[in-house]
Amino acid sequence: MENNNIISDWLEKNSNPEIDKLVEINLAIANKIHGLLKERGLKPADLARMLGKKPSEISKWLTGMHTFTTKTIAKIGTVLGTDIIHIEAQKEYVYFTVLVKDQEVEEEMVFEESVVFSILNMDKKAS
Amino acid sequence: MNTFAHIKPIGRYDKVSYYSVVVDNDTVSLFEKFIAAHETTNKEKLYHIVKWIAVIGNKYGAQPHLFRPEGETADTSALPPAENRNPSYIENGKKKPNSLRLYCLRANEHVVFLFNGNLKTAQKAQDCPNVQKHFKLANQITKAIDEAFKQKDIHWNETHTDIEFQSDLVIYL
Repeated sequence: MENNNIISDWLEKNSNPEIDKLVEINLAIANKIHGLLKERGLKPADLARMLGKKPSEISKWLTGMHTFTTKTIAKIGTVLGTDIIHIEAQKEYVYFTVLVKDQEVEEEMVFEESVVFSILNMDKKAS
Repeated sequence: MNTFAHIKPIGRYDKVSYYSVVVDNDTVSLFEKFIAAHETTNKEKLYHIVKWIAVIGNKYGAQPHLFRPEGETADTSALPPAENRNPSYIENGKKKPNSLRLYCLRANEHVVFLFNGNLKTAQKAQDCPNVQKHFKLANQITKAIDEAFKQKDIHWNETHTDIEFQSDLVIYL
C-alpha cells in the first residue's frame, strides 16, 4: 500500500479535538463492555435482560457510536460487578535539588496532585 | 451506468487497511468523492465518521459489531453503525444524531473498502433519494469484489491481515 494516508491527512488538516475525544471515549467504553461480556461468556441479550433494556439498544451501545451517560455507565458497572471507567488522580513531576557535599544532585519524584499540594503546603491556585 | 472499477489504497493502520475504488474513468475514488462532497456542508458529521474509522483502524480492528449491515444484493455495510437516535457527533458544541451514511465492505477484521454515501432522509436506503444510488452502487461493487476474491484476482496475504492484487486489476461491475 502507498505510504500516504488519505484518512489521517484529512483528519490532521481538519482537526477537531472535541470530536476526537468523544469518539475515543465512546469507542473505549464500548470496547470495555464488549470485552467484559466476552470474558464472562455473556451475550448482548444477557446484558439487556440484566438491565431491563431491549437487546437492540445494547447492540447500539457496543458500536462505539453511542454517547453514554454516567448513569448508564454506573448501571452497567453495577450489573457486571466492575468499574467500566477509572478516574485516576493526575500525577505531577516534582523536581528537588539536593546538595550533597556542595554538589547538586537532581532527584525526580512522582506524586498525586493532592499529595503534592499537601506536602508543599501550597494552595492549588499557586501552581 | 458504471461498468468497471480499480482498487485504490486509502490508508493503513495497525489493525485495519482501508481501500476504496475508482469507478470507470474517474480520477478520484468513491471515498475521496464522499469527503469532497461533505467536508463543507456536513463537516462535523463527516469528521465524526472519519475519526471513528481512524480509531478502529488503530486500536480495535473492524469487528463485526462495529458495522451496520446494509446488504441488499451483497454483504455491504454502512457507517455509522446501528440506527442511532442518541447523540453521536458534535455540531456547534451540541451533540446530535448523525444521519450521514458511508457505505462500505468489511472484508474481514483487517480489511475494509470505503465507498460513497450521503445524508439519509428515509428509513430505508432504497426509499431515500439521497443515498439510494450510493447504496445500490455499494452493493454492486461489493458483489463484484466478492467475485474477484472467488476468482483469486484479489487474494489474502498469509496472515489474512491484508489483501494482494495487481495494481492494474479491473473489477467488472
